[in-house]
Amino acid sequence: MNPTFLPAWRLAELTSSGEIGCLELLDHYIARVERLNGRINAVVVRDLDRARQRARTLDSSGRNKGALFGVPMTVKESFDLAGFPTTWGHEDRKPHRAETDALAVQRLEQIGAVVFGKTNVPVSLADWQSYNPVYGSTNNPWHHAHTPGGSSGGGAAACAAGFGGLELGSDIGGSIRVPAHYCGLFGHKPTWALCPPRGHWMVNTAAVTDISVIGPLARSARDLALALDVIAVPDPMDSDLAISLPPPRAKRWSDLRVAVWSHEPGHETDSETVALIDDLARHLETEGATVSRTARPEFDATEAFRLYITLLDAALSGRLSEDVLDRKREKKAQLRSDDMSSDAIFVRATDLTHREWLRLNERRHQIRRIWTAFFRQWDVLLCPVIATAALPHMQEGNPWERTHTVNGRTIAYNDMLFWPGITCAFHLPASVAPIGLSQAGLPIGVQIVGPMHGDRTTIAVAGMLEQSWRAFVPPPGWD
Amino acid sequence: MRIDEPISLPISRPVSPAAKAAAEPPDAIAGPEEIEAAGWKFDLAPPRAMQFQGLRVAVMLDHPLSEVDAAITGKLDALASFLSKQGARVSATARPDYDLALGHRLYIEMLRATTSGRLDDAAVDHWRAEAARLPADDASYYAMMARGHSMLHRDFLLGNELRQRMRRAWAAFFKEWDVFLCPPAASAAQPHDHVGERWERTVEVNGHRIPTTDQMFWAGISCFFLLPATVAPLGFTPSGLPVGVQIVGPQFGDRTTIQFARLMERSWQAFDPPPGWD
Repeated sequence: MNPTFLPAWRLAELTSSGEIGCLELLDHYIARVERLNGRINAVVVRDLDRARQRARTLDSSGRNKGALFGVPMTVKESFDLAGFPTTWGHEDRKPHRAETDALAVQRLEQIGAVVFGKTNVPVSLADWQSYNPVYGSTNNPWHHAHTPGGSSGGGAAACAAGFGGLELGSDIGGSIRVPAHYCGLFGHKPTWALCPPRGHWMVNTAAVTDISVIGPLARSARDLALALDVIAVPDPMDSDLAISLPPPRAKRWSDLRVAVWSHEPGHETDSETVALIDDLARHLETEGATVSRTARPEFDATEAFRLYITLLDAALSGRLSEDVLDRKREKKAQLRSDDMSSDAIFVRATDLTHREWLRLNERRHQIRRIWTAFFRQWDVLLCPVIATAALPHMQEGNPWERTHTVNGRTIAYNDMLFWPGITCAFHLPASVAPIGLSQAGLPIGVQIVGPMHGDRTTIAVAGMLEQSWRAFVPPPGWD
Repeated sequence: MRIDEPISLPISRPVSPAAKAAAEPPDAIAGPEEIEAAGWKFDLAPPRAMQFQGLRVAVMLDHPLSEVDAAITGKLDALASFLSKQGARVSATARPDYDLALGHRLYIEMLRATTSGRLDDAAVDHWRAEAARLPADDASYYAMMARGHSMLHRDFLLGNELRQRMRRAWAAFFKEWDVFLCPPAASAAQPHDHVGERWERTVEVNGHRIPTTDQMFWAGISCFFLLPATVAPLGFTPSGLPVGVQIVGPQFGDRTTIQFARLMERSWQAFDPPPGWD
């Protein structure tokens, strides 16, 4: 049996039963990386000696076979891996060497995973394309002229290309969800503050960043649940709180209430994506689900989007260099007061006082309550992940200066933050499942949004889609 | 111990209504609010000890940033000796490993940033101008308040990072020590003083006047780091006003600090009604 594209849970069955040795499986994936990574440049850090030693130990111990026993995997470059630099794509970080593995890496290894490398990212994790001066550019395994997404782009490319069993990423503006969607994978952006991010940093930090989360990308929804179980545990360094996620609200379509929000006026979404989500809604109706195409949370979507952009900029402002701040201040001074483009809102948030942030945060919490009320009526919301399928490479200039064409209309690059942002600003969990291909042969996914701490519900729905609509399909030419 | 279980006390004396009241509020009011309650569970740890014997107690009588009246320090010192005799391990020098003066400055600035939501635009502009006028290293309450009221969110994040590191220093401290005793304020109840602005007022401590705001040091030493703190009556000043002790514990160590207050109530000082209120 060729294990390449099996889900992680299936790989763990094979290693646990002894059908494949842990080292044998690891060497299978290492050989694929060595043979094929040149096509897409997804895996940029390789920790092969330690991984082989670990796989040998698992083979010889044969005990405590965890849920990811012997599953080879990679993690996003932004996680610390002992002995290797954590650069976030910055050249001046090349000499850095992490002292210990990130907490989530340790936890995945505690249930048997074998982490053997790290995957490519954009500079500062701030793009939906993954290229940087340290490691170069990553291609989408479905189509090399396209990006695999970002910022967990190298990870999505690696997982889709069969370079390992599972991937660990992070998300503050779609960085798990968009690459999963662009590469035809399952992905999960957990409820904010559920999974401690210790070791997902450039410099050692104790405070948690607003909106930012870590979470898995995989070839099966079941793998998302396995990974979440082990990373959704409070950091013992911080808290004696316990997390106890409620079980999925439903396991059958006939018990599920599904709101479908396939498009929103003023926020251009590619017609192929909209049509696929509408097709899916019809399918769910025939499966017996209660489906509404008009149910919406009772807030103004554009207000929520603008609030997100400001909160995002505020959350990241602690990391900005004086150079960047000066440039933003200069631009802010030239801004017209009626300019409500996403970039203008970003720039306007420069030098936000804490007082203004408190006002925005209060509004955010009001909208969280509106979401909570919505999820009393509906179990999940299905909506696009982002405006289109995978972008063609566009590496000139800065992201905020770029445009993208959607349905023949030109939109600002950062206007694409709409679908990722209106959920994550409010700390909600969102899973992604692949639902089809565009005419150009690029994957399209759907965003499955749930209530706060409804992570098991959104992952369960992703699993139900995997069963009844579409499972992972490997990109052509990667066998 | 489950959160809905009553705390059993290994003492023969009946529990006074006062100590019962002190034990009940966390049981009744602790716990996540509705949205968070979907996933977060509280399960407060039981008290680390039911008696003074063996308890590890750090005591801090005073700090250069906030002079404390001898009526409090004397009684607190006497309590420390009493605890030693009761078999507690008492240290007068153990401290969390961070710069307490920096912690105080961050507390005042971030407190005043947190309360800036109540200010209007003109007030924020005023405080921004005041902050710009004063030297950046001015550690007076007024200067810290001016900086806090006009603080950028970015600076709040940078301060929060330092605060979170100090929280970890406290967490490490409470691996070695069970409670940290210190004054709750610089003096007993101050006489009514409604003249001027808060930051202009002074209070008499050890025979001289100090700014009333100095004693926010004792408020911030625990609450800025999100720690629980119980207050228990310590005794009375020569003029008959009550003074208390602040019993600080580790994060979620609320049952430990309340249990410590119960032990003090039993063996040191119980609630005394004010004269003439029977």
